Amino acid sequence: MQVEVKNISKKYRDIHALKEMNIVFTHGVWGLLGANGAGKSTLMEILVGNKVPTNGEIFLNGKSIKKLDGEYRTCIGYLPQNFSSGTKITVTDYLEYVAALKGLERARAKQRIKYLVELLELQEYRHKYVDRLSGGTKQRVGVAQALLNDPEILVLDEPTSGLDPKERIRLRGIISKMGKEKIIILSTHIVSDIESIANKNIILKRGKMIDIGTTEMLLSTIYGKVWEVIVPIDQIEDFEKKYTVINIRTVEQNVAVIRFIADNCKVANAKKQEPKLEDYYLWSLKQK
Amino acid sequence: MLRIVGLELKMQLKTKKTMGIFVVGVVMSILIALLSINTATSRNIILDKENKVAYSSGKMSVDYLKKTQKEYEGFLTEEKSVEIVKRYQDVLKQYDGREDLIPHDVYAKEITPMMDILNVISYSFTTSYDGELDVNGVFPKGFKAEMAKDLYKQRLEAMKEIWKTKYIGREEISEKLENREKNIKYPLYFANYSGWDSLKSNIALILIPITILLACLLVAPAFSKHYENDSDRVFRATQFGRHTLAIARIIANMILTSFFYLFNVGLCTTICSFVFNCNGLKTSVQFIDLFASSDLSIGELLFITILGGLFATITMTIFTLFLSSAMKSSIVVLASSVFIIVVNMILNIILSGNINDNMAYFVFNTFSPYSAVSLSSSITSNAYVYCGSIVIWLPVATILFSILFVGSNFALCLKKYNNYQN
Repeated sequence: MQVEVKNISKKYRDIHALKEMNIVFTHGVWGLLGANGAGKSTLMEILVGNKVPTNGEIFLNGKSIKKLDGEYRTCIGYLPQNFSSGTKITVTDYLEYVAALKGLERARAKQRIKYLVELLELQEYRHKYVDRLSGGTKQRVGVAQALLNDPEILVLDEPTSGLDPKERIRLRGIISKMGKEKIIILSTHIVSDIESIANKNIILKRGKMIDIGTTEMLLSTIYGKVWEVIVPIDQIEDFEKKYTVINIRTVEQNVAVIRFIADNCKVANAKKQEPKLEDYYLWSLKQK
Repeated sequence: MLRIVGLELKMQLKTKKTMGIFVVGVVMSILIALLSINTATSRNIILDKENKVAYSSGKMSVDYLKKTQKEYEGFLTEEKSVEIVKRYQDVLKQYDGREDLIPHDVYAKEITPMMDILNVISYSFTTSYDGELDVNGVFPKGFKAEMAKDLYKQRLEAMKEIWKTKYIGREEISEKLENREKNIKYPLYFANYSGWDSLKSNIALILIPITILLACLLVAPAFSKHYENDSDRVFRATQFGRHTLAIARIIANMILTSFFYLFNVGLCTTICSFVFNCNGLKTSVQFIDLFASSDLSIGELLFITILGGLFATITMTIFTLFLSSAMKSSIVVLASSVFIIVVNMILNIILSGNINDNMAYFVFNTFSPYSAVSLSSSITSNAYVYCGSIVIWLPVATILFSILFVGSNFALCLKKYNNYQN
């Protein structure tokens, strides 16, 4: 299965939310990285067919999704940002409702709901109102509804937001397993989440795709260029002018550890570090 | 589709808001039933259970009339009309020909039970009467009982007089009315109908508008609530989350509001039926509106009033759903629907005085989602409207418009929901 994004642009009056995007999504987990307003959610909404692009088209295995319409949506599982049930409804009733909208027969719906409630540990919340659940539990209900139809294409907008570390690790595990057979596209502000599960990454900046590639490929660009050094706090400003600073961590009263990227590092006592996706992401945003 | 309709209904019915609105509907229906019982008749002079004179317009009056009007029940033949007038005049003679001198116990026993029929006879004769009226009784001076045998002929004459002044230069309307008159079956039927006319008015003027307002409150958030909290994004990304969902949601909401309306009206009518005489529903409509060119009974007119309310509930529901599919704010949707209802109610009152010759009345009573409310009144008031050479009977225009309105708003609602992008 292959989803091709061809020359997609989206304009809201004078604002370009997306500019001429071209991507071919194949099996695997795809991480979408970008600051707020970079166009991640817009791209996802276009991918699931909720928004109509100003220009361009999306193709599923060579067929336009406009023509496939409902048939295309049978392959989709979507978790939007700030998921909400929208009405006073219990978890089971909500899942039953979405299952009906997804065209699942009653018996199959029952079976899938039971499976997903167990998988996402929602048993004790089955009869609770969705919108009264804590952020993390509600998010798990959101993931459950997205998985109801066992979709070929799973689009998850900030799936780990609101989850506690244990829940995040658990969800990452579930997504990783599914990524072997499906196209999973997810966005998150937590770069480490993407790093641990996504094998392909897309970096967006102001509606434009500035980078695309596997984690290894992207990291190879900055391999041997990531450094850490301990400096007095009053020197941080000078440091920021000379190098691409990734992180500043105060360790003692007047001393901080600076993580930075430099092609040729002439800083005394600086130690070379293993590059992380977050290093590349921040470096990439500053460079491009 | 049916499964989604069922789930939509289940979802709606489970909310506290829906339950609250249903409770308000039940309370309102009971109150209107009680109001209809308490104002069932005009204030009558009657005899209470201990045979003492009493003055009542409520249940006591209904019970008394139910009992005493039994002997007048049946077809009001020419002979019967003569006999009733004779009876009335005989009583009057004993008291110097003056109604105000009749002792109240005699009045309650003799006159009150026959008053509904006397009114029909006297009204037919006095409307076109150009002689001297008798202030001491219900008939003109010199009126003889035998004259009452021409009751129906006289009624038609009186009507022709009215048409002549109402439709100057519009003979085709008078012709149409005359043709409709031919369909009326004579003699008219009478049975004690006390309370049913008051119930009909209360349903049309209070119960239907309030029920429609509550129905709008019920359906206003149907689409807009999901736009507001973005929950529709999940639904739209599903196989049946667009067209099918929109159709199912519209149908579910229409079922819900129609059921809500019928339940309220049904409850109100059922309560009243325990007090009022059900046989009275067979009474010809002319007993409450003498010049109605219609062959309906009071029961049928009540049914049409309820049917008109149902049409209006459906049209207002679909109109509100259309607004809901086009707007993000449920409050604005509700405010717009309420505005339409209030404007219609006000215009109805202002314009109804010129019912037969006012174009504005025709426009507001036809081209509005709320127009079907006045369906029964436009039937009995012989409302014809002319537009150039075309003569339109208002109820037909109202029904046609309602059907077109429901269809077009259904399609617009689907289009708006399908094309909505947050």
